[in-house]
Amino acid sequence: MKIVQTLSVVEKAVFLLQTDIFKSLATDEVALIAVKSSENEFEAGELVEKGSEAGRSFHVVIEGAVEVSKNGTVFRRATKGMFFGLLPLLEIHGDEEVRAVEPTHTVVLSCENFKQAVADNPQFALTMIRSVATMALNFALRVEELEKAEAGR
Amino acid sequence: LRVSLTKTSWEFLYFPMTDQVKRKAKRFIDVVVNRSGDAVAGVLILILNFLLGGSLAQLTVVILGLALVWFLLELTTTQAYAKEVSSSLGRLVGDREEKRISLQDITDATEMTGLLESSNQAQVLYALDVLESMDPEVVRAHSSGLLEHPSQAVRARTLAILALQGEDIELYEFKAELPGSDLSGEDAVKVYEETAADRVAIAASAGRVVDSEDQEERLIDLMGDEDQDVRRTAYRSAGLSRRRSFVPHLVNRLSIPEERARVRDALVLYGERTVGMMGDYLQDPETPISVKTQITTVLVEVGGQHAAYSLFRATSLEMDRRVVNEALRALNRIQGDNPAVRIPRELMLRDLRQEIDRYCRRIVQERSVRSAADPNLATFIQRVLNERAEQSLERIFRRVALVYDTNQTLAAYRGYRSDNARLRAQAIEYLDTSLPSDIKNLILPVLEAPSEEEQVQKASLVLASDPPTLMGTLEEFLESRESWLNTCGLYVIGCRKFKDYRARVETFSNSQDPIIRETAGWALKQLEASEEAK
Repeated sequence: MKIVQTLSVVEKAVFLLQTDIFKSLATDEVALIAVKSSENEFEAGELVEKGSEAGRSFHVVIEGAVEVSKNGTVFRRATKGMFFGLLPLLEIHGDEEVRAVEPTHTVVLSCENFKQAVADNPQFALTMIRSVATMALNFALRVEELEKAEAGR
Repeated sequence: LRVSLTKTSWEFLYFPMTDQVKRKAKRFIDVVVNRSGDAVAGVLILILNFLLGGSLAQLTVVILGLALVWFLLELTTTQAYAKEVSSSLGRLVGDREEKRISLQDITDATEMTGLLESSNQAQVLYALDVLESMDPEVVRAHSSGLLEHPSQAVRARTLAILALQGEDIELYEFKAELPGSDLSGEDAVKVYEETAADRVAIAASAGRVVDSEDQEERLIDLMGDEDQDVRRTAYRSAGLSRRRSFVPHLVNRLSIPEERARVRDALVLYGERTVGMMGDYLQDPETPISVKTQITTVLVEVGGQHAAYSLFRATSLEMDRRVVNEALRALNRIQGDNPAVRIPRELMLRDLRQEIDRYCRRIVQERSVRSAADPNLATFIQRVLNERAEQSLERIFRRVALVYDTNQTLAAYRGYRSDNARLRAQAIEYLDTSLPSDIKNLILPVLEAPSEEEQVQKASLVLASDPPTLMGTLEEFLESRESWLNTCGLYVIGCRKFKDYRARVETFSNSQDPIIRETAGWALKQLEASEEAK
């Protein structure tokens, strides 16, 4: 992993405003989050986070892609504009690992700054709840789909 | 006059109606209202002639009397109509008051009381937390057992709850009750200070008497204690003491999210004694915005005319927009709870006119920015301007609500912001019947405009100065007191490589604001890179 600085605060804010999780926030609120963020770069195949050893950071993918897997099964892929690392921040630890599948560039928010952003901005907190709910719903739908496929076999 | 003016004016009144309604209304007015009016007038003249002789002077007096009755009737009807429009809006928009669910609704007190007997520390602490807000009497009833609990965290929490409920926590009596406490004097105090429970006791007793600098410093230390029960008891003690010297320390702790609720409660205990100081904190540019937001909540809790004046000072257009938004919301809440609270009408109407000008300016600017060459940049700046216009519109309604009926005006705001055409029309109707004509003439044409194009045109007419151009907008961003607009101006210069602005960008390089400073540095790099490329 490399810590880089390729974007200015406003450039980061402009990028974040185009993503689903930040688009409902006001521009200056996103800038206040962006100023506390940093940037990471990962090479293809590099391990980003692993289970309880997770770095406890919130990432939004600027470029590239990562895959979240457990026991070799990939259950989520995050590409440009998508986030990962939310569940460990909420102290929900699994054995999943996050690995970059191509050269990946992310905006990173440390645990402390993420919690501060949630405390200062109810709209951001609401967006996070919505994101977790959407993730849970997608997982449930996927499980249902797989169960149907299994039953039909 | 009757044919040329009155008849024509009557015809104009029918214009907004649909053909079907117009036909029915005209028929009814021509056949029933006009003829009945003529008949009543004839009868009145006959009665006048019969009873008084019917001289011109007598006729004039009667007509003047009737005109006065007509005028009063019109005034009452307009007010009643405005009220009806607003209450109808209120019904349609719905009551946006937060519906709080109390712990009592979802928890069983008996179950929680049972948990107090548990030897498991986590269970007892949980029960104490729930019972504190649900039924503190239960905690009081079980206090003797809880204060001898083997866990010092349980003892500390119990003491803190008792102290927060206003119970006298006598430090030395408590010491005597502690198991194995045969110490006395200085030795006892040292042992006491080793546990959180004891520090809570010290913090609680400090609330009654703070009469030396040592005690004051001790309490300030306890406000920063590692244990939350000690901290919150210390906050309350500071609030109970009502000493002004604690206020800066309390305000400082408002910046910590987990502490805010307890610190606010402590500041509210000061009552009106510190509302002036709170107003000064709102004015101070060094106070963080998150702290200012908390201060507005404290002022709402304190309420009353003095708190309203402190907030009103923070609603000036020169203040940071976020502070103005919070202060206006807080003022609306205070007035909503207590309509007797008054705001200087002339000053507020002056600010309202300026706010309308600012709103119209943002609308016109948003349109001028669309012509920018870089579509991504244009989209971003448009979004910034749209946000500012939306916030400005909210402030317009909130300022109107300070002068006119608070709840009715806020219902009109929600109606105007809804997607429902009927609600929007009712909101405009309410403003039309409530606002004085000079303000109405400024804002209503903009709000009523059926299309975006027309809205920009109407907004341009309202502006006191020339409509802003793209470069004019950039200038305004750089000159703004709002740091985020300065930042956006610097970003535009960097993106568009406006080398003529180099000197202006350099003036922002040493700004106190980290975002401005960073963006200015970035913009300078962009300008240098562009010059090197040439």
